[in-house]
Amino acid sequence: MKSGVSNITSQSEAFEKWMVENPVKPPCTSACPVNADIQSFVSLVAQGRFRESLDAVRERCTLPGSLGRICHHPCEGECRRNDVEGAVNIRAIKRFAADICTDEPHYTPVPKTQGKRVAIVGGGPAGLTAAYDLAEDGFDVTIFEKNDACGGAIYVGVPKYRLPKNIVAWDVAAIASLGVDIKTNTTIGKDIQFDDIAKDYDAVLVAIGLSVSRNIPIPGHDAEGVLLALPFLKEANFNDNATVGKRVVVIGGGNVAFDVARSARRLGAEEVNLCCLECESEIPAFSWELEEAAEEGIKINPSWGPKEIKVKDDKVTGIVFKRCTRVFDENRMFNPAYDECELLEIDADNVIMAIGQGADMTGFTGTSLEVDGRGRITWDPATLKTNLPNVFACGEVVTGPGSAVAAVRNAHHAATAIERFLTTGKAEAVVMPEPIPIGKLPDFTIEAITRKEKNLVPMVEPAERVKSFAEVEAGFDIQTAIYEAQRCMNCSRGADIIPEKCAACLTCVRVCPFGAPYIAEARVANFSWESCQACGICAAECPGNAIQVAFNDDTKINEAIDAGTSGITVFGCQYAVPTVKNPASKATPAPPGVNMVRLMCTSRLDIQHLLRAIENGVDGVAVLACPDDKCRYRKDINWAEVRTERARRIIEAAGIGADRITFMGSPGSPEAFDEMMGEFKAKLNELGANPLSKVLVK
Amino acid sequence: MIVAEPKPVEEIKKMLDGYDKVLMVGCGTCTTVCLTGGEREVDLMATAVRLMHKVEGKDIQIGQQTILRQCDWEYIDELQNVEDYQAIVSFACGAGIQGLARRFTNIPVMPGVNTNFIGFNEEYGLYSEQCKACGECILDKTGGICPVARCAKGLLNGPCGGTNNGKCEISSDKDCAWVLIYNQLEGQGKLDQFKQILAPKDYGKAGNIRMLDLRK
Repeated sequence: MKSGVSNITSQSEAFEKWMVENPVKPPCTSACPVNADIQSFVSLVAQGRFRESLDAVRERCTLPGSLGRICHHPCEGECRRNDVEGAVNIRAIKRFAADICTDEPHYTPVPKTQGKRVAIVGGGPAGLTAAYDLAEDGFDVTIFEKNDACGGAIYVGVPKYRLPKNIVAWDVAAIASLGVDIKTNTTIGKDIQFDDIAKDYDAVLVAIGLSVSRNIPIPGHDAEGVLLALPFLKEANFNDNATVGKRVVVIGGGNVAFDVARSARRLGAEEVNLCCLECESEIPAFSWELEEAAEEGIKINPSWGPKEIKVKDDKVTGIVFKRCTRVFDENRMFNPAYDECELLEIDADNVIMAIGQGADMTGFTGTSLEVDGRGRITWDPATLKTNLPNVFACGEVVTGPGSAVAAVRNAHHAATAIERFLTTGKAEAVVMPEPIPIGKLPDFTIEAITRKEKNLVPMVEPAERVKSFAEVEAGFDIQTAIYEAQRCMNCSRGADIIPEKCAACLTCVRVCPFGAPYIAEARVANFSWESCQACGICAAECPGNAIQVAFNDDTKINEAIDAGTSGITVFGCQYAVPTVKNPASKATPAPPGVNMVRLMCTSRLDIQHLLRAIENGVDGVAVLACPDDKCRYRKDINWAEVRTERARRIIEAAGIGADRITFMGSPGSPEAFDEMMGEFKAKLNELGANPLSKVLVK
Repeated sequence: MIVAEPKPVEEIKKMLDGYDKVLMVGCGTCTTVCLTGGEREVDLMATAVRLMHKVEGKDIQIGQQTILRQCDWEYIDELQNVEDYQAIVSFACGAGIQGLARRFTNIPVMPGVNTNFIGFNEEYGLYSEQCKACGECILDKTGGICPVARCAKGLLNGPCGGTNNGKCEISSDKDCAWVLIYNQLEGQGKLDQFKQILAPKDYGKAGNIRMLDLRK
């Protein structure tokens, strides 16, 4: 496992352990379809540890570059920072983690220790995700993909202006690097027979998605100039000479319809009308698609149903719509009603149908895989199994249309089912653990939180956008990404009480700026996770050592301290991290001989941490002051300075010399940090070796 | 609660000269609450003393245990392997320190703190003396404000000539207890109480070697 979790054997086990150990998760993770550990990857970006962030993203969001661009980010909708001044821009941070690491090497192949082979039919988001999980678990995985490259709908269908194809290729390459064998241009039923695969492999996963666009059997639907969404999008993506008429009408109100309409504009259509059954408030596409399409001059016509396509000499000349008065009936079933008296006629050179997709089951006809009367694979959503003992299915082909990230979730589920089937020989229902989100921020806590304005993702101007298929959204630069990541409040990763040690002394209640601790009925302190901001002031002040902070626990801090046994050990909060010099490095590089210990907030700094570093034999210890302009914590007392002072008194009394521990300003740049370290080093050279090591690092 | 302050680490180190196996015992009640003798402070002092010995090239083994109270036999008896140590440093108030000294008579017991007073926890880390344990409480007559503890002279009938716009002559940051008493009684409409002369206290009740037997 890349995450290095010891004695955990599978991806699913690692996820389950993380979920079960503490099912209370921040709202972003709870809202995320794949329940990604968002705080971890956001925090790693905040610390300048980009490569580690990317690895953390990929654990659940297996296609970071792609999902960092096209995910509909329900995480941000639930971010508790919405109640302060605006959600953390999580999707942009995820994209940043991918983009900054594109020149980094991918992984080395995972040894195929399981001795079992898994075939995956379809290399879209679902198939790729299952391949990632199963390869990580040590299975020998082969993907059969009918196109010339993997990615499925996000490769063929999603337009380049939203998702450049080299990004998809990069995501696929990362998964391939784990040792996944990808056979492209391989069509089931033509190049290879499904029954042979089912026989030759220990398990098979069918994840073929929905790759066939539907047409509407209205008069004129087969005329020249009537196009289907997916073939049209494929042309737009891969044929540099693709063209479209000057006047285009797109039928459909989903995201694919908007992709089609916006692509048509880029191919030269001057007048693009998008007509859909739904009224404005019911249009199923994401709200930002509507906004951006309108900016690009696309006319959106809600509540219109296609009646007939006007044809002259077998060619499309226009289309007539009838007023749609209702899409869903009282039982919320799709059952549109029309007013045939109200009509709309639009002249058109092309009419493009974007009303939905179906599965391409041609390669499975006549095989032993059972398909129901509507052409859908017979499938058990609990076991993810088909009628065949070793064949599973996942993704849109069985769940129906949905987002890419929803397919990724279903694929994690399927990979878990397959891993258990291959390990135990039994296909049993797999229950994915569900997180419990923490509650809203109380008003008094909102008051106490320092405001940090949200950074929006820069977009190309609409007039410029429609000229080409160049990507419309720019990513964050390093400084913006770090700043934005630092806005994360680390919900639910804060303080917790060890009741048997609590003296109910009220110290935590008094020092917390956010009103999180309270004395519970049993006369012990307790913490409102809704309020806690994980700064750690309380943990470092609790006289009974009765508080632990999940995000910054002593074990992890001490490990970081013990990494330094000579030279200088520096304590700083994540906001005091100097500007990153080497963007894609695993960690922000510190000058030679400097061991950085990062705390969420320097208020977490304990006198013991300082003394531990000294006892380890380092020449000196520096505590970086909080950069006030960046700090998101409220502090009435400079705790780090107070504690540094006491540590200085203790080492002075011990004959080690107070000046070996220093509280210094916050470096604004890596150069300033180097300079500060240089000056401190010179001072330490004058002091000579730490009496506890007797060796001075010059 | 009983309020104590940490002893300078140099003083603790000096007490321990000649010992290389020492037990430091924290108290989980008053001295924990006043941030002086709980597990955290014991940890810190143990680290500090160990560092000092290391600098001198000496080895010292320091055991650390914190019990709920050092002024109760039952809790003292929760301490483990005490006989393995050559000396004990107690981080309890004077009562607790002596509790250990009475239980472990063969082992020298040192104070890790200075016990100061019976006080009130004003705010984080700030304590004020409120009670002298005089054995004859008169708070009913003084508006709930104790002149014995809070008047610099402990006057039973004040204020004295040193009162200075509500402050005491000894320091401008100390309130004159008798002005506080006056204001409190005035607010309660009981200034007549202020005019009553309080009789001298029986200081015998505040004498040494006191015992209290509620079983009688």
